[in-house]
Amino acid sequence: MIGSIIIILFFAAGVFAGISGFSLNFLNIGDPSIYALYLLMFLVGIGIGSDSNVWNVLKKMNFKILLVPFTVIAGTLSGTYICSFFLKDIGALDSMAIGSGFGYYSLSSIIISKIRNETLGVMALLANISREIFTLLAAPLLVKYFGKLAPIASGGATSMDTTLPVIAKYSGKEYAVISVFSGVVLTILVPFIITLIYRFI
Amino acid sequence: MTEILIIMLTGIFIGFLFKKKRSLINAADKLAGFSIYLLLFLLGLSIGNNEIIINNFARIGFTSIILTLSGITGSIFFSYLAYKFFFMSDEDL
Repeated sequence: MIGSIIIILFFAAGVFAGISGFSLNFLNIGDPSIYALYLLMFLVGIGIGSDSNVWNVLKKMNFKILLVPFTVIAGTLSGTYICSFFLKDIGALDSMAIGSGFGYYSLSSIIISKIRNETLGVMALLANISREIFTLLAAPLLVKYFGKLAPIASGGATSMDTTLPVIAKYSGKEYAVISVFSGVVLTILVPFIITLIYRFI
Repeated sequence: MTEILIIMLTGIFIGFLFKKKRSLINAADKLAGFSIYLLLFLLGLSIGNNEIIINNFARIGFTSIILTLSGITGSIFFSYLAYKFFFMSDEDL
């Protein structure tokens, strides 16, 4: 709980600073959050490499690890499908396609605005960024109430990079490896699943 | 995306090499905790700076967030089943 609150405060401070015009553009290094991410990935890697328990757990889990990205795909598609009946301004296929970004907002928004239109593209951007933000903010609570796989499932494709640090912190290093695996599989599948969904139109 | 995986693999390799140097590993762990806050602040900043997101939020933000939450709820539902039936028993390793 405390973990989530601190995370939300830092995030909110960033959004607020950004809206009120504060920006690091003068540094001329592109999006600075990418460097914080690089640093984190390196540090999380050190944590995984130094922990011999990680490899023992992985050996025992073997094929089960494949289940994880599958639960995300099945869950996202069924969740967004059911939800589309309650939303008046969006159809079932568009909801499922937007959901199938699994948090990979740059790619999914581009594909969807190409296949459909700008508005749905922006919606894909917003929806998939929210997936990442929600996971970052709620990870401690998700682990507490829905088990250690929950933040990995919630993070979707982002569980291999942006949300990995919080997952490693709250689910443990053994789950960090599962998290990377699930994120990589989903990231690769995003363009295929979105295109496949629109084949049905 | 590739560079992120390479950076992490480098970290894993270094962590493996310096496994015995506990003070170093603990320092890396602590620094990782603080970097999460830095990352969140910078992520918030880039969203606050992004006009496409800020300008469109009022119009389609609600639908987008409902979609996100429904996808996440479904995912967590299935992952919870998988966790309960296949993963929980391995945790005492």
